[in-house]
Amino acid sequence: MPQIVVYGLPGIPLGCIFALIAVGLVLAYTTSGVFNLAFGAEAYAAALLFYVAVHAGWPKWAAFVVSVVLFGPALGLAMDRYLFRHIRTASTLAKLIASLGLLIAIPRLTEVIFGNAVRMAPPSLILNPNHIYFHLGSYAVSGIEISTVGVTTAALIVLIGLFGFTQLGLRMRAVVESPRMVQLTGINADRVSMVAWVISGAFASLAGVLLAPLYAQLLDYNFTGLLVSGIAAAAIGGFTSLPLAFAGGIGLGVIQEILGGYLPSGSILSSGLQDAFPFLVLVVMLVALPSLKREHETNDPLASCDPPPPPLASTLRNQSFDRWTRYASWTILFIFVLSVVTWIPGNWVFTLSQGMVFSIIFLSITLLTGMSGQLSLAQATFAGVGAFAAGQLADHFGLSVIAGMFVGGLLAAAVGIIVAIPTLRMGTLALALGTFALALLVGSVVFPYSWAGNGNSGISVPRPLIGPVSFQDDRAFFLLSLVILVLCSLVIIMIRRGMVGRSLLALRSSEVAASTIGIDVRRLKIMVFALSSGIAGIGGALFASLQQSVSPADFSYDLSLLFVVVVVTAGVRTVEGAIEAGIGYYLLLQIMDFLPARYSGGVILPILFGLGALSYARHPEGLVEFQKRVWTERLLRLRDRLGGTPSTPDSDLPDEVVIPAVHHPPATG
Amino acid sequence: MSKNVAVSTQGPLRSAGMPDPPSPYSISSTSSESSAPSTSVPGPSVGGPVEKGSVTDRRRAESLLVAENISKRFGGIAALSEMSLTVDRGEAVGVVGPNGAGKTTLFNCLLGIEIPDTGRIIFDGKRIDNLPVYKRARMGIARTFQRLELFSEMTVREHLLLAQRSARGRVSLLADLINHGSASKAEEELADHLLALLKLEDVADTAVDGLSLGHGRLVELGRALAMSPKLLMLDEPSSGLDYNETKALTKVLEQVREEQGVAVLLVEHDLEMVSEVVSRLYVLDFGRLIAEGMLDDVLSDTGVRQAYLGQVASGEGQR
Amino acid sequence: MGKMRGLPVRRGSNSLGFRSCSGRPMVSLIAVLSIGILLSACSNAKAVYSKSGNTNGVYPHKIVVGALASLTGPVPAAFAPAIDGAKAYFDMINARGGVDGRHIDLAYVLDDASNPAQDTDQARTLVEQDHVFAVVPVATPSFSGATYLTSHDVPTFGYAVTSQWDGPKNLFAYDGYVNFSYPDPDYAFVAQQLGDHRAAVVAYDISSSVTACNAVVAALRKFGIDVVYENLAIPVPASGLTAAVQRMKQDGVDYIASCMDISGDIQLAHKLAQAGISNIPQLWLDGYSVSAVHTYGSLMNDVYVFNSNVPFEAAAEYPGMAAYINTLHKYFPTARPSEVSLAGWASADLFVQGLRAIGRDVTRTRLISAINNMTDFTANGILPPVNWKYNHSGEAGWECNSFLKAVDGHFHPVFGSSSPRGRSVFTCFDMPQPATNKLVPIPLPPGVPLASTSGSTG
Repeated sequence: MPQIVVYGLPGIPLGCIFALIAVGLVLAYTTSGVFNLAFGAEAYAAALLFYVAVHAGWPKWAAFVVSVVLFGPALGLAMDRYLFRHIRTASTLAKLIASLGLLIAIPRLTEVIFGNAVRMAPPSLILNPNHIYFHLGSYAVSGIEISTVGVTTAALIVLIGLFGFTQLGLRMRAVVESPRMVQLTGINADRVSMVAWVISGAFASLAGVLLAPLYAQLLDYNFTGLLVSGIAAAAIGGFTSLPLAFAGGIGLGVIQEILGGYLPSGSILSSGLQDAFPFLVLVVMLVALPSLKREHETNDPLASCDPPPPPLASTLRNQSFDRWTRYASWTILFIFVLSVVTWIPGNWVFTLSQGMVFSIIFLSITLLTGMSGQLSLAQATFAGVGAFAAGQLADHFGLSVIAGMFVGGLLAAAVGIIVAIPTLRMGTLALALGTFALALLVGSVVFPYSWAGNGNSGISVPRPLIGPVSFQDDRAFFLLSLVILVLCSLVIIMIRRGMVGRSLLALRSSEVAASTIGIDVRRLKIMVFALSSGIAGIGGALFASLQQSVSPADFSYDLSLLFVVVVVTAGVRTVEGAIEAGIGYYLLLQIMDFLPARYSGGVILPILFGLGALSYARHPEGLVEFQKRVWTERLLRLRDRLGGTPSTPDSDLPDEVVIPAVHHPPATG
Repeated sequence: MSKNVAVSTQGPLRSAGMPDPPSPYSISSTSSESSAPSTSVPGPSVGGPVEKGSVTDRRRAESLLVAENISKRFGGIAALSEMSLTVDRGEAVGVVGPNGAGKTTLFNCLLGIEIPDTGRIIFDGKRIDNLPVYKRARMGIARTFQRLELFSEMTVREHLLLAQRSARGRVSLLADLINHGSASKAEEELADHLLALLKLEDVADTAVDGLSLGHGRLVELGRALAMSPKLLMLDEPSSGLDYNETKALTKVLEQVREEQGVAVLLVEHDLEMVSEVVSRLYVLDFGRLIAEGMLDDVLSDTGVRQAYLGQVASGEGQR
Repeated sequence: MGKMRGLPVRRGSNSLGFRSCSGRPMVSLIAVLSIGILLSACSNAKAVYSKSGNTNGVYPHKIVVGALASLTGPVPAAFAPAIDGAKAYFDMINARGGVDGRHIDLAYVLDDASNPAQDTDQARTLVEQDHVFAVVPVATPSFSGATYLTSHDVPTFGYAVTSQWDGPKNLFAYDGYVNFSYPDPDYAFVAQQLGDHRAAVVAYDISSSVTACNAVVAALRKFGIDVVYENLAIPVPASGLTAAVQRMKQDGVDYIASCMDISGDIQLAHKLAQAGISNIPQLWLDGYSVSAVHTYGSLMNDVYVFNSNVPFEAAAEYPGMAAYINTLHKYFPTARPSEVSLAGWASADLFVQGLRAIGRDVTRTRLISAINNMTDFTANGILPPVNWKYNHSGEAGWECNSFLKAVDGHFHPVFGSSSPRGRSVFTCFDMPQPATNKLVPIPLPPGVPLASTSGSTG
C-alpha cells in the first residue's frame, strides 16, 4: 500500500466524525434556515443520557430507546415548538443567537440535572469500539471506526433520499425559502418545520451516542470542540449540500491525517499548520463561497406579511417619567459611588470593578450587534489582544497601562480590520463563523507565546499611576474604571445619536436602500467592527490591570460566546443594557456563592442567560430592558390611578394609522 | 384638470437642457453640493464643457443618463436584452410594460444593485458601470422603491437629514463624536422645506414604522429629494395607493419638478399617472424594448396600445 | 445645535464639516493636549501590599478556613475531590479535639468554575467577606487569585497545576515546588530502565500540555535518548493520533511520553493496539487514574506513571497512606482515593502541622514563617520530605518520585530504591541535575518514607 494511503486511510473514520457534524449542521440549515451551533450540545446531552441509563443498569436497547428514539426527537420537537417555529422569518442574526443560547445552556443544564462527575468509558451502542474486526491492507479496522463510517454513510443515504426524492424534502426547502409562500400553497409550514427539527434532533442524538466511545471520558467539549472542523466541512458543501458536506468532512479528516503523517515532527510550522488547518479551510471557504453571499440578501419576499415586531422598549419611554427617573438615578448613582468609595467591603468593590470593566467589553457588543446588526464571536479574543499588548508594553518598555490601553485598543482594532475585510462582505453568518475560527486560532496558536499571553503562566500587569495618584488601591481603581466606562458609554451614545448611528440604523433596515442614499455600506461596517474591537481591547487592558495578572485562559473562545448571550439577554440595543449585563452578571456570580456549589453562579448563570438569549428574536431590545419597560408602564399606570393625571405614552402617534408603511398587516388565514 | 397639469409640465420639459429654474431650494442645494468632489455643479448644459473627450456624440453629452445595450440574464431568463435609454437633464421619462418586463431589473442595473452582463452606462458625462451603488448615488442618482425600503425606528426628519449627509459622503465618526453629527442650518432648512413640500410636517418627528403606505411613499420621495439628485428614479410609486393618494403623489411630483428641475425616470403601471408626468416613454416587454418615443406618439401607436398598454390599463381598471 | 453655525454660503468645503465651527478646533486641540499631558503623567504603580488582618478567622475555639476550587463548569469534576480530602482530614483532627483547643472549620467552599476572573473574585471574598484565616485547599486550573492572596499574606495550601505557585512564600503546594518547564530526570528514567533509546512525545496543543512536553523532550535529549517523533499539536478532543502512531511505528519508536489527559492517553493506547504496537512502553504524565486503569484493564498494560507521593497501591507498607485511605472512606464512603483528594488531605496536614508549631498564638505571619522553617514535611509519611526553607524557589537539591506500572487493571509500584536503612518506593535524583547524561539515582536522602513491613530500621 502506498505511503499516502497508509496515512490517509485512517482519516476516513475521523472524517466521518466531521462529516456527521457537518451533515447535522447542513440538515438544520437547509430545513430550517438555522445554523444550529447547538448541534454538538444536543449530541452531548443524548450521549450523557445514554451513559446515565446504562450505568443505572438499564439494558442498552432501553437506553437507546430513551436517548435516541425518545429524547433526541423530543428535544428537536421542543426546540421547534418553543423556539425556532417562532423565529422562522427572523434575521440570520436572531437565529444564530438563539442557537448560541442553546449551545451555552444545554451542557450546563445537564450539569445541574446529572452533576458533573467524571464519566469514564462511555458505553458503545453496537460494535465493541476497540475490537479489531478486520484488516484493510496493513490497517486494522476497529469497531468504532466501522460503526462511525457505517452510520454516517447510512445517514447520508437516508437523508439524501429523504430530501432529494420525497415531497417532504421539497417542502422543507420551500419552507426555508418562504414559509408564508408555502402556506399559501396549502402546506402546513409549521408541520414541515416540526418534522425537520425532529429529524435533526434524532440525528444529533444518534451521532452523540455513536461518537461517545471515541473518547475515554464523556465531556461536553468533546462534542462541541469538533464544531469548527464540522463547520469547515459544512462550508465545503456551501452549507446546503449534504453530499458535499459529507465529502468535505472525509476530505478534512484524510488531509489532517496525511498532514500529520508527512509534516516534519517537532517543527513550529507543522504544529501551527496542524492547528490552523480547519480554520484555514473555513476562512477560505467563507471568502470563496458564492452561496453564502446570497444568504444575507435573500429574505422571504412575504416576510413583511408577518405582524410587525413590538416596538423596542428603548423607543417607548415616557418623557415625563424619564425626567423623574433621571433625577432618581443620578441620586442613586451618587450614593452608590460614595458607598463604594467608603464602606462597601473590598471584595464587592472588586466585583463591581470587574462588572464595570466587563461592561466596557460588552459595550463593544452593543455597538456591533445592537447597533449594526453584526455578530462577532471573538470579543474576548480582542479583549485579550488589548490586555496582552498593555501588559507586555508595561513589562518591556515601562509604558503606563493607561497609554498601553489605547495601544492595545488600536492593535485590537487592527486585528479586527484584518478579519472583517474578507468576511464582512459575506454577511452575518460568515462574520460570526470567521470570528469564531479566529478566536480558536488565536487562543491556541498566538496567545500561548511568551511575547503574547505567555501560556499557562500568563503575564502580570501593573496598576496605573497618574501623576501622584496611584490606582493600586481597589477603590481608586473602581473610580478609574467608572471614568473609562462613562467615557466609552459617551462615545457609543454620541455615535448612536449621530449620523453614523443613523446610518447603522438605516443599514439594519435595508442595506440596499442605505447604499442608494450614498452610504458606503462596506466601509461603514468595517469601521464599526474596528471600533468595536478597539473598545473590547481597551476593556481587556483595563481588565488586565484590575486583575494584575492575566493568562490566555482569561480570554478563551467560549467566553466570547457567553459574552454575547449575556449582553443580548440584558439588552444589546442600549448602553444601559451593556452596563446592566456587566455589573449584573458579576454581581450575581458573587451573590450566588451563597447557594450550594451545585447551583453556583458558574453553572446557573450561563443557563439563565443562555435561555434568556432565546428570546432575542422577540425582544431584540433584551429581556431585562423589556421587563424594565413593562414595569415602568405598570408604575406609570399605578401613578395615574393614584395621582389622576393620565399619561399618554402613545400620544405622538398620528390618529390616521391605517397601513403601516414598513410592515404590512398580518396575512389572513 | 389632469390634462392641464400634464400640459404645464411638458412645457419646460420639451426644452431639455434649459438652465435649472432658480429657486431658493436649488441654490441651497448647489452651494452644499459644490463641496462634493465627485459631482460637477449642475448648470447650463447646452454648450457646456463636454467631459471626457471619448464621448463625441453631442446628444450624449447633453444627456444626463445614457444607457447602451444593457443586457442582464438570470440563469436562462433574459431579464433585459440590449436595452438602450437616455434621459436628458430635467426631462421626465417613463418606462412601462407588463409585470416581468424587466423594469425593476433596468432600475437595478442603472443603480448598480445588479451588474449588467453587457452594455455601458454614462451618467453626467462619466462612465458609471463599474461604480458601486453608493458612488452612483453620490453622483446624483436617487431612487424610490416599489416595496417600501424605509429605515425602521427612524423619524421622517431623520430620513431627510441622513440622506442629505450620506449623499455627500459626509457621514463621519469624528463629526459624531465632536457634535453628535448634528445637522447644519442648511440641512435643517432643506429638511423643513421638503417636509412642507411633501406635507409631512405633522409626522415629521414620528418613527416611520407607524406611517401609512401613502405617507411612506412620500417619505421615500423626500429621502430621495434630500440627496439633491440630478436624476430621480421612481419605481412604481403608485402601487398600493388608492386613486386619491395617487393623485396627491402626482401633484407633489409636479411641484418638485417645477421647483428643482430634476430629471425623472418613472416606472409605472398607472398610465394616467405616467401620462401626467412624463414626456417621453419607453415600452418594455420580456426584457425587450418594443417602442419608444414621445408620449403621445407611443400612446397613439395602436399596436402598442392593444398588445401591452391596453392589457395593462384593463388590469389597472380591475384594481 | 445647527444654530451655532453661520449660513454655509460660499464657504466651500467648510460648509458642513466641523471645521466651520470656529469654537471647535480649540476644543479638540485642548482635548488632544490634555490627553497628551494625562498620558505623559501616567506610569505604573508599584505593588504596595497591605498586610492587615493577621488574625482574621481565629477565634478562641475555632479557626475558620476557606477553600477555592473548580467545582462546576466545562472542566469536569477533577478538582472537587480535593475538598473531600481536606474535609476528611479536618474531621479527623476535630474528632481528636482539634489543634491546641481550636477546631478547624472549613466553613467556606467557593467555586471558580475554572474561570480566572471568578477565581480572583472568590479569593477576595474568602479573605474580605468570609474573613478566613487561611485558604485550604486550592484546587483549580486557573489560580489567578494567587496575586491577591500573596499581596495579603494569606497562608494558602493546595494542589499546584500552574506556575503561580512558584515563588511566593505564602503559597504552599502540598508536595512542594513543581517547575513544569524543568527537564525532570524522571521523564527519562523509565526509558533508561527499560533500555529504550528512540522516543516519541505527544501533547495537546494547549499551553499546559505543550509546556510539560517541551520539558520532557529536553530531559530525554539531555539524558541521551533520541526523540525521533515529536507532536505537540494534537487538537482537543484528541484526533489525528492515527497518523502519529503510524509515524511512531515507522520510526521504530520504543518509548512514548504523553502530556495529554487521560482521555487522549486512552485513545493513544487504542491506536497503538490497533497498529499492533501496544507493547511499547508509555509514560503518561497525567495518567495516574485508578478508575481509568480499573476500567480499561489490559489496554493500559505497559503504561508507566510517576507520582510525588506514596502510591495508594503501597498503602500496606505505608501507614500514613493507609490512614488517608481509611479516613477518607470513613467520612466520604463513596469517594475514591485520588491524587487530587490526597492533595487536599496533605494540604490540610501541612496547615495543621504549621499550627501545631506555633501554638496558641495564631497569626498569619507566624504560621507562614513556621512552615517555611520546616525542613522535612512528609504529610505523615506519604511524601518525600519537603524542605520549605528552600522549596519556594526549587533549590531543595534533590527530588523523589514513585513509579508505577499498569498491569491488567492495577498499578504496581516499580523501580524504587533501597538503602542501608530500608526500602522505599521512591527513586531520587539530584535537582538541579549536573549537566551530564548520566542518569543515576542518588542514595535515599534522609527522611524519605520507607516501607514499614519488611524489616526497616526502626
